[in-house]
Amino acid sequence: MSEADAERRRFLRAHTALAALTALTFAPSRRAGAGETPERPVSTPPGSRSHARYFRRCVACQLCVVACPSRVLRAGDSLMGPGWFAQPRMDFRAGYCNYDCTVCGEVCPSGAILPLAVEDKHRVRTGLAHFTESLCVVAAKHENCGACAEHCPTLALQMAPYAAPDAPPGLRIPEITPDLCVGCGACEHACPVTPERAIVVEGLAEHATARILEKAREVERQVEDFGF
Amino acid sequence: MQRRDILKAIALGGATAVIRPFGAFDLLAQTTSGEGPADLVAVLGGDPADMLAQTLAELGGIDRFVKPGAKVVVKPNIGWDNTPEEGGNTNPELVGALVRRCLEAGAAQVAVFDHTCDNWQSCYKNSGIEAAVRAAGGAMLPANDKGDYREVSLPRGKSLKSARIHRAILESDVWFNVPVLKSHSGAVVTAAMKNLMGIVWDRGAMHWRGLHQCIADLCTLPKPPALNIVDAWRVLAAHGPRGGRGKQVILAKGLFASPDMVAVDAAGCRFFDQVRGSAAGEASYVRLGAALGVGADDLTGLNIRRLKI
Repeated sequence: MSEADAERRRFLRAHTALAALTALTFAPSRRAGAGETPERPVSTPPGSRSHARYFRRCVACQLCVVACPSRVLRAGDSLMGPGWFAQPRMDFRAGYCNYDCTVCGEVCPSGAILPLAVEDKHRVRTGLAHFTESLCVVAAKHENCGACAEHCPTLALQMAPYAAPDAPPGLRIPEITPDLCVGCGACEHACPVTPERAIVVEGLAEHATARILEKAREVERQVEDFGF
Repeated sequence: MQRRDILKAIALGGATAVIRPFGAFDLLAQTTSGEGPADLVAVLGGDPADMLAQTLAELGGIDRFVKPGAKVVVKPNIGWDNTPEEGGNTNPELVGALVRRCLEAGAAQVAVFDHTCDNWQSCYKNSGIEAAVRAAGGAMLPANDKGDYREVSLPRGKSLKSARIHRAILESDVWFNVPVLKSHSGAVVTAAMKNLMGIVWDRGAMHWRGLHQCIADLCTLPKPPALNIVDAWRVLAAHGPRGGRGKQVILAKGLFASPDMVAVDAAGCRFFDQVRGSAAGEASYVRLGAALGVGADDLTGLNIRRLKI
């Protein structure tokens, strides 16, 4: 074997190893292990309007990540797709977007996250909740749970009677009213099912408008009797 | 007096001294209605501070629970980033009034916390509880750090065998459980027993292992609250536990208190139905708690005081 052949062989061996290592590093299984579903679209903060606009404006300064009281805003990584490295996005395993919070839009210096009044923020849909009944505690274990509906600030998620043939009475299972969903991720964060949540929020590349209900009403009622 | 009589008297005195520490006389006290401290107090009307004052008087006074120099913890429900009017949290007026009463009784310190669901700083502030506690002379403790929770074994628990509990509870001399009565998506009705989830770090595990049994299991903890004071001033009648858009809050002006968290929840469930005007039914953790010996779900044997102000 000539010296040139040996050199070529070394080159090929080294680059094959490098390619294999790269493939392993970026394999979907590793991403799933890190708590992200590869196929799931990413959620960007309210006020960013669309992924395209967000990418144009955001300088990845991380001010919103530092300021976010709920710690839901986290730096993205390149495994999420091209351009996501260091780009702040909502990580619902880490937290969820607090319904009445508008801090990220107030601190963003580049206009990537536009400031929103609380009332306007309530109408912004950054993603949509999706429910997988077979994974839910109620369907799988026939136990009441309701952690998702408990956390939902908009009534997009409510518990409805659940009647499977072999289920005991009194069980209630999540039911989604999509037009009320803002994609805040509270349901996904609260869902106790692991490793895949029974309820997940998929981000929208173009933010949409959610329907909102009337503010809470307080009525005085003369209660005559304790009931016991 | 005969020698025999003297011996009889000594024997009887000895027996009394032995029986008393085992609570036999407490059982006797429960059967005589209107005498001694009540087992359960129910109040309608008035203002929160006045309702609390009358409740404590019926229970034998705050001095029964708070000794001079005591480290006191008050555990309200501050789970949600809600205003007081939205009904998701305990009424700040009641929490403030209780802190004040504890300090008047000579408490060295009164600390208030909850392991909140929404962001804790927003919850503490917007609930009005932080301001009310500070004004009364108490201190707010954060509860968002896992390092502040200690593993506690629950040998009587069926599904939940141990839980990480906030050290403020474990290090206190006495603690008060001060929940708000409201509807709950998973637990039907929430009051005293369910409020204990806010002293625990891993709430998700309780949902996963069967919520109702885990709530009952948690209530078997070795250091239960000395008194449960259930706020029913504003009652979130449906779609709880979080208040907010699309929900209705009923100003019911109720207050319930008992050292027995099962009894106070059994009473709370019935009052909740009165407020709603329809039957939500009793939450099953009440029955499960009684089965574990946490308290009494049958109210008929209890010395109950009902007050209307």
